[in-house]
Amino acid sequence: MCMKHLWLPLVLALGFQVQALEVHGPKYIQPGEAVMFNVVDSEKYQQIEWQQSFFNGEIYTTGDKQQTLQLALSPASADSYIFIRAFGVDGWNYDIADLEIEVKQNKPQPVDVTIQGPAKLSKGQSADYTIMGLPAGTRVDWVIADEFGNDRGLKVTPNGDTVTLKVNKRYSGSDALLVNAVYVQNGWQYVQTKNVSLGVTLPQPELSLEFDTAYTALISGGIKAKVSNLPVDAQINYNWRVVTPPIASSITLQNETTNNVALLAQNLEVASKATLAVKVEITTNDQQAVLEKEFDITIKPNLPPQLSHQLSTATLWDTEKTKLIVNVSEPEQEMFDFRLDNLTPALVQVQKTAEGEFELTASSDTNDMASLKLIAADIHGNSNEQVIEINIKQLPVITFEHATKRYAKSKVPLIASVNVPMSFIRNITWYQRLGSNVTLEDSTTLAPNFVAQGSPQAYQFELELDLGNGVSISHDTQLNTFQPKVLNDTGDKRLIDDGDNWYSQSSNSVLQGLDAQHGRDAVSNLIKLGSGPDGFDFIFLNEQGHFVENFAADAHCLHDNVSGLTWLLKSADVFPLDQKLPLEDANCMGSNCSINAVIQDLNARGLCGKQDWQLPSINQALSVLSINQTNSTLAWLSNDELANTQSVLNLRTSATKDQKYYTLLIYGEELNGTWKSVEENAQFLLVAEQ
Amino acid sequence: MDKLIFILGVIVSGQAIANASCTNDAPIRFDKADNQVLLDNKHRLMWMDCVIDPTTKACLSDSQSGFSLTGKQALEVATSVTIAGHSDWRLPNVKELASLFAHDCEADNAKLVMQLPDRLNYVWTSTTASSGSSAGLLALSTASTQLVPWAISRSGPAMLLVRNIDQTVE
Repeated sequence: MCMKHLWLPLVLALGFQVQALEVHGPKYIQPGEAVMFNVVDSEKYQQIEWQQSFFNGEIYTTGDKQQTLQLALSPASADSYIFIRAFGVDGWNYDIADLEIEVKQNKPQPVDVTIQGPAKLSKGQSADYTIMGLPAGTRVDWVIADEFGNDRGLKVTPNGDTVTLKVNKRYSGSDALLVNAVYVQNGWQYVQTKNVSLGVTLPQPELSLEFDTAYTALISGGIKAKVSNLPVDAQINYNWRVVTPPIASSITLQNETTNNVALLAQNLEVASKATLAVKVEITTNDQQAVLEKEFDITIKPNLPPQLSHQLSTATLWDTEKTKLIVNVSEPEQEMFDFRLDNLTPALVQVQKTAEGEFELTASSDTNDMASLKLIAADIHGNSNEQVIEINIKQLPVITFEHATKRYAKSKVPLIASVNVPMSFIRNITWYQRLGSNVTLEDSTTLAPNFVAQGSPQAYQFELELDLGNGVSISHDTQLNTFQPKVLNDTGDKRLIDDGDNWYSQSSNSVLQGLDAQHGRDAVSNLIKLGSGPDGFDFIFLNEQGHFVENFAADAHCLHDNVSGLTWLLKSADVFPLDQKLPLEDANCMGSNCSINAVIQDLNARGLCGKQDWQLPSINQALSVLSINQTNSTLAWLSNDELANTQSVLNLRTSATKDQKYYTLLIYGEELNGTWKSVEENAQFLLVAEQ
Repeated sequence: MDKLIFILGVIVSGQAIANASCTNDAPIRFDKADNQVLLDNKHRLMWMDCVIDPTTKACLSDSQSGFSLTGKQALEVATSVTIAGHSDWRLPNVKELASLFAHDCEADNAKLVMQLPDRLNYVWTSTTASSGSSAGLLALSTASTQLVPWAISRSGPAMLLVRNIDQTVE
């Protein structure tokens, strides 16, 4: 303190005393008491300085200008007076106050006073404290600090016997505050104290927002503002606004002065951000707060209904059916309309079978492409389309490639082909529709076969090809079997011995494998329809073709039951067997002067019911000839007139080549075959096949 | 004999031997089977589809080899050979052999369906014929269809084998 006041004498020596300084404090003090002195209007001065006389006690100053002096007198003090001088320094001017405090005993009891005001105070709050019970006009000095004397963060505004105390939000001192009212009565200083505890700090109002799960264009959405920690009697005003709308779109707000704003965005192409803001004004009777938030929301475009479909088969055969399942999903769960347009009604029929399910039936006999269009639109007119293309294939064609004429008892192939790869065929089925029942081998292929029955007949089969999915094609084929024609035997009876000579009684052994040892001629009990030499089987026919007795006078034809051929009887009175005729004779006017004239006549007459009389082929002529000299077929062909003839016959056939015709030369047991010039005439047989 | 190879529509221009009643839509006469067997469905005959090699008594494998043999040899081979699973082969008679080569229709032309040497001409039949004063057999020229007697002891013709399809006893 001594060092501190070294400059004071200089100030006092050089300065000018202007007026008296007013200091408020007691006049009396008793030992052991602490009192306080305050400079009134200390704000007028830059600094307050203090000097005092020597006494038994302590002194110290407080305040930003040291305007408060506290004096503590020792209980053992024997002082009578204490002198104190206060300097109010203001530049080179100063004011002085001289105080004289008398040390006395027996300080009177104070009057009954109280300090009224809240016992609890929170940070950020203020309260008024008023001392009650003092005589009017009593000056009161308010000293407020915590229990440790710390007054930082405390704002004290004295106003006579009332003081306003505000505890700053950032106050960090003790929770126990002392509100001291210092007053002087009858020269003695008294301190009335009220203990104030620092209550819990009220939380600040906070603004939070509740958003919808998602925001979609064209669909109204909302945002709710919630303010927490509101004072009970707070008044709230909301104000929403759009800061930045979505790109290429806009947002309309409704109820924007409430806590629950509604918003509606126009449609947009892609999801876009929008920036909005809300301002909340909170007003109480002593406070006002403004909470403001700016925030982004993402707005999705309002999508049209989404289409998907499942088509069991995208490629259909003509007549094939398939199932179409259509799924329509509306992203925003809005109402929608769905439509299926058949763009090619001639190619495919569409039948609705259930909700979202359709049965399609292909209908085209050519390869073609059918189209269906799926259309779905929401209530905003946003639509989606899908075109379904369906390949329609004409049904395959079955073609049969097997011969349709076969002989009875032969193995008959059925050969089918189809004009698609075999991988298209799921199953092959043959059905017999006509003919004696036969067993098909390889019946699961396109080329089965069967063994024809012995009796000639017509067979009909249906081939069914399963193309899958209920589609099949079928086609019929018919074939006929004909009677095999067993060849006549030769009538050869001659044998040869192992000496290469004709067999005779002197021969040792006979060669095996000769004609005479095989064939119909060698069958002992041959069954015949008619009769004839060796293995031959003939019947005789009259002019009308009716059966007559063998060698009857009215017989005109000989029918071979083995070959099925009918021969003209060459009787001497009509057609001598040994008669030679030219094939043609232009000069001949009759019916018997050329072979062709005879043929023409026979056909005109329809002899024996036949109208296809002709020269026999080599094989036909051979078929009826026998080289059994003793029982020759020539006797039958000549109606028993040439049974024993030894004449040589050159029998003309229909075979011709290089101006020659083929003849069979027969005489006795010998048979030759050779070509003769067409200039030569020959004997002939005539045959009818039908 | 199980697997048949069917001959369909054999239409080849050839020898101008024709018959007015011969049409190409006649029933299928020939079917080829395994083991070089040719079936004659029309006449119910089974033929070996080849000339028999007199040495090996099997089908002639080399067309340059000789196939000429005497009638006696032919008879001996025919009655003793087992071929294509059958032992009842024989020489064809004149009508059977002529039905192969004196064909009325091209569909009946055995040359088109049989494996015969190009130089084949005469073929033995089992039908007897006098060759001068000698005993002989008829031989058929596959080239001209002429039928000529051939002494049984004289070689020259080749041998074809035939059997009846409906033979009940093998």
